[in-house]
Amino acid sequence: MKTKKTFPWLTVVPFMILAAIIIIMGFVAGWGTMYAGNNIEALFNQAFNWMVAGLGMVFVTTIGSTDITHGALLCLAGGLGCYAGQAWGVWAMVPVALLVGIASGALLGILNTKFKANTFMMSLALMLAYKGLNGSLFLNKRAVCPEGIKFIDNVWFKIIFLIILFLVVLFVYNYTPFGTYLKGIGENETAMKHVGFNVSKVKFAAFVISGLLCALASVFNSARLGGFDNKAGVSFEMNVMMVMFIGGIPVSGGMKSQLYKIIIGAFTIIILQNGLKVANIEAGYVQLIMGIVLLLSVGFTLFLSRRLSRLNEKAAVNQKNA
Amino acid sequence: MADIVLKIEHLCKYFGATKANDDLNIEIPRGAVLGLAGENGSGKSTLASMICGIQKPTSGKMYLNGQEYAPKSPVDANAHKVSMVLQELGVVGSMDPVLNMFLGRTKQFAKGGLLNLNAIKKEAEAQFEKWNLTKVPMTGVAGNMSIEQRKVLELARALSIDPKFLILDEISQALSHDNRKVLYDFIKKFTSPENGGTILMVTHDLEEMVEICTHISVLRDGKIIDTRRSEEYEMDELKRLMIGREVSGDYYRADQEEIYSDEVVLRVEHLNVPGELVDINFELHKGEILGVCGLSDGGIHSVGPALFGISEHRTGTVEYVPGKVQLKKPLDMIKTKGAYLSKDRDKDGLMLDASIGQNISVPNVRLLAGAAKFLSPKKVNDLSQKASVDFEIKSSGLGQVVKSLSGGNKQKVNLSRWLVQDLDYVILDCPTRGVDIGVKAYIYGVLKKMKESGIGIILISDELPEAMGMSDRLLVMKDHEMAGMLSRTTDFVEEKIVEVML
Repeated sequence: MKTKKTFPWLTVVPFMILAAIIIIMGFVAGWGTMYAGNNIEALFNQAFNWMVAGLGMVFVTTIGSTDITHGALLCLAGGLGCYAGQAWGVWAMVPVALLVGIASGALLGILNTKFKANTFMMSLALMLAYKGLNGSLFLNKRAVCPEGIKFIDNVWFKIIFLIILFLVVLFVYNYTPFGTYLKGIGENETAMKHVGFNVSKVKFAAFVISGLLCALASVFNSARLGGFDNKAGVSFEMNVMMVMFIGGIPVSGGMKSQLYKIIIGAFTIIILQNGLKVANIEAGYVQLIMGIVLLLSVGFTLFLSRRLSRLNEKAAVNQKNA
Repeated sequence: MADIVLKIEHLCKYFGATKANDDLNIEIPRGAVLGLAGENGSGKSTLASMICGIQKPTSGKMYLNGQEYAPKSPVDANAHKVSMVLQELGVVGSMDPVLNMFLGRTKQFAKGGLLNLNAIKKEAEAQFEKWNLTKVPMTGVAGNMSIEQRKVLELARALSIDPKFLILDEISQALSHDNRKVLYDFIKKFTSPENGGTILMVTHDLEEMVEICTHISVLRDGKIIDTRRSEEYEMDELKRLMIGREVSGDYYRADQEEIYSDEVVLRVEHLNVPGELVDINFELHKGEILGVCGLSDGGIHSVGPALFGISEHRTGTVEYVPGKVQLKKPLDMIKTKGAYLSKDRDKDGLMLDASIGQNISVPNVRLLAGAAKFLSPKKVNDLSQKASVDFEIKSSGLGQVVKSLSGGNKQKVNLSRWLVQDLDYVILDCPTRGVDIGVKAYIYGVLKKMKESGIGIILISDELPEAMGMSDRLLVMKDHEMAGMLSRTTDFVEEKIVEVML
């Protein structure tokens, strides 16, 4: 059996897009300002939260579902964590925030697996509910982050933390049966049922992981911002999704999802966003440009994957005829 | 037979490698009621759907009243006064019955964007009146009607275009005794000289066919092998023509004896699934191939999901005897070294967009995982490699996407991913469906080997020759119940099996 290697376009394209964005932004915003040490640090700090939450959300995307609670959940979990930290001491902050995240994921999981509710609709409903809660809890108030936790807002700490988290998630995602089931569900849920696995349990776990890592991001976020008001986390979920999809993670889930794409995506987005801001482009235009770039890159990836699968089919036919 | 309504010449319809209709020729005289007899998958419904424009032929020609006829769609067929009642229920459940009748043709009743419902209702009633059909409620929603009422409604709908050529696909199955009578009277009236209609009828009920039809054509493997006036057929002869074909060579098992160990692997008692299975009882032994066969709606394809524990509302017990384990949910079967292969390979079995390697590994990762659930990529790859070599899967490598494989190779992937495991029993639903002769022979070879190594096999099959050729015992089902358990040693005569089946 001979395997003919074709050039791995789909793997390379996200890297190419990232490189292009780095170069273009260098010209637009000026190399010196854009890639000065303190700006890179700022870039990383912003992208960090997306990557942490993205490493959780990818579990939900892989099974072909959607979780758009992240923005509102970021605010709720972080806010309640801050309150708890002020009331009971610093130690309470992290567990409370994480519990809120787990609870939210579990709720979504139960709605999806027990009541067969569509996850997009359900997470939309939950998002609205959380926003309502945030509105009443944090209206004109700031949940102040306890001082004792702020040590985590340190670039080196974050880098090490991210590396460890990435490796842990990578292990679960690529090197355990659970990871295989996740991707299998994304490919063909009925088939996975016929293989005999407890599909509901796997899906439930995916939602819980997604909620948990979002809450983790919220802790870092509050440590960075010093607290929360009810506007925190606005469009956070959209940014995380953009990070995943521009990195090339398939929207429909399945076997082709890969974790490193989150990292690529996060840096692509943040450099683009930040570069446009540094270049003094109006906020409205920034969004417009972001939209167009996302559209182009997703469209290009789609075009490429269709083209490649057609080529593969042709190759297969040739092989058969040979 | 001078006046030919529909003439079909060299009609072929291929679905990939499957020849549903293969060089099919037929002439239907005006006023005839032509019955199509044939096994499942012999191409009856395909032929019917091509005449009424649902599917297009791969090649060949049709002539209607001497004119070339190539309907582009059912609407186009209707314009040629050809109409059809489908086998599957085709009623829009949330709509009025009356609206259902004139679905897509309500324009004639529209005025300034509004529908004149009274006029529609009148027209509908006139149809029922004209053909003496049993009245069905015209108000409410169609979804609340019984299956029988819906069938009558569909017949009325087919008639509302005033057709001259009518196709009835398995209509009487859904009808009770009284309504069948109404149907037969209608058929007589429709084909009488003053109405001048012609009917093509597909039915599994051979007695009905002989009684009602004027002519009968027998289809086998997509070809018409015989056409006669129905009074010229003996029932036994018709059955033999329909099903009997030579069992060729050593394709199937050579021995003619029921041999297996006394050890029971699976014991099934009082298995019930509402609407699908009624009180199924049997034991599967080590090294036994237990065939399950029956007519299309007999319930044979419900057996697999019910045993596997994926059917809802299942009652009764399925016991894995060696381990004294009750099988309740899918995982129980996997844990007791069992496997189930469903009939719908693409929908229930494979991940089409994933690679061969990924498909093979999925059912096996549970067994491959080591300490801390670590799944070594090398082990996974080795296993997939072994399976694909053992099963001679023809591909450009493990990375090839399953979607691009041929049906036979897809099925090999589907089978191999289970059979690389050390199994005790396996339930196979139509393992040779949609695969060509070569792969078929290969799969039978695998079955023989599995039998020898003491694996218990339940072989559910639509094809009687296959079930007869491979099984030790044959569980024959009829109307969702067990109609008989036949032994290879004594009972494997086609006529005998068909007797129990019908």
